[in-house]
Amino acid sequence: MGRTLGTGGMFRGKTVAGPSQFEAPYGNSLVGAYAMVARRHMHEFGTTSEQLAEIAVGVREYAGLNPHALYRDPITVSDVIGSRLVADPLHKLDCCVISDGGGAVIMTTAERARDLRQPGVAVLGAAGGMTHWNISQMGDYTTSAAAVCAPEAFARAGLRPSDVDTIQFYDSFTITVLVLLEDAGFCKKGEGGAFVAEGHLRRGGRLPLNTDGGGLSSCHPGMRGIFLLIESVRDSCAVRAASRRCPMPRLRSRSARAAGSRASAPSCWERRSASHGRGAWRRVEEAAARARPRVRAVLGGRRGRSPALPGVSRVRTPPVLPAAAVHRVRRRSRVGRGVGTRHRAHLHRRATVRRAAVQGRAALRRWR
Amino acid sequence: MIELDEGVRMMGNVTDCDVDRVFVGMPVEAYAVEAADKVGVPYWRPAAQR
Repeated sequence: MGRTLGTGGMFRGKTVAGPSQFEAPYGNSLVGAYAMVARRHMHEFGTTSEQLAEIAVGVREYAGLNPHALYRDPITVSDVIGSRLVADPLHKLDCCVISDGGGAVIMTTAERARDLRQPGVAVLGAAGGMTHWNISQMGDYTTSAAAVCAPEAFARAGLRPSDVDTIQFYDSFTITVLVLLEDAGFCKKGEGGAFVAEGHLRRGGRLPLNTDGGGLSSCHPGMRGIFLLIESVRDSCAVRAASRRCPMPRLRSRSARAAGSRASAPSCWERRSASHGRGAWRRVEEAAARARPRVRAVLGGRRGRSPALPGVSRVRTPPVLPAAAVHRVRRRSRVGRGVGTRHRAHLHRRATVRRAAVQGRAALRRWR
Repeated sequence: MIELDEGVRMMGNVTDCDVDRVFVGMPVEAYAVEAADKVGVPYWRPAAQR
């Protein structure tokens, strides 16, 4: 007789009410719940652990490019399969990391964004959905709320999954990504395993996933959504920086696609890797890790086109999000200066803001 | 998850069975376990094992 009462920590020491009372006594854990989804997906569609592992391997490749990622060393499919089982069929490397972290985004109107120092990144469509709280209440284990809200978001944006160049998905576990890929319409239900096995999500593939290293390799402080937004914005800015040298709309228009230009148009990744190739983005990131004060100045654009960083002088609008940091740098620069200096700083700032506004307007025009 | 013949589903632990031999669709039967004083919860074991 092997009897256990509770292996997970989800409900331990808590008073449970509602549907949880029918779940808590059996000790299922959070990873256990995802494991049930994975097992069901395997049962219904023949998905394999190797296919799931492919997601972790691909995300780790991108983590290698992010100096801030927690785990950066490359892994293989057999590394994932060989790591210990946490909740059958999910292995340790199928699971996200546990870390601290935090982030912020600034949302504003397109009108106001025109006057900001950093160019805006437009939100074309958004939608949300909610299906269940307890895993025992999940209707269909292989379908998430994304099946409802992703089509809605696409409809609002006037786009289709085939228009998308790069995706940032919540990747608490590899199975999460697989289900989201299907639900968001990047492949048909049940075909997620085969889709990822074709390597589309890998570096150089046509649909880069979680290019900061995701929750699987970079960071996961419990709530990860903010990092998806931050990476999307950084990606857009990096692409924009690259496309200044090889101008190109971020999203191909449908008419252009119909005319057959899709095959010849460089993917977002190619454009981004063009900037990687020149090393600009890498250098900014590496310098960010090395010399924080100097980079803050670059982030803030305080020195205009200046960075004392070799090779990045052509990245005139640094690919960054944190306007809070920008603000801090600007504030700090005013402290303890004489009036004359302050006036010069004011003139310089005004010129910089005007220049950024021109760039911002141009960026927004490109979006429309 | 245990799906009852009546159509409802409920969470439960499967016992009296090697973990490698549990599979999706396995017939099980309920039995009661006293989890705490005067609190019983249903557990499950392979149906064939009577």
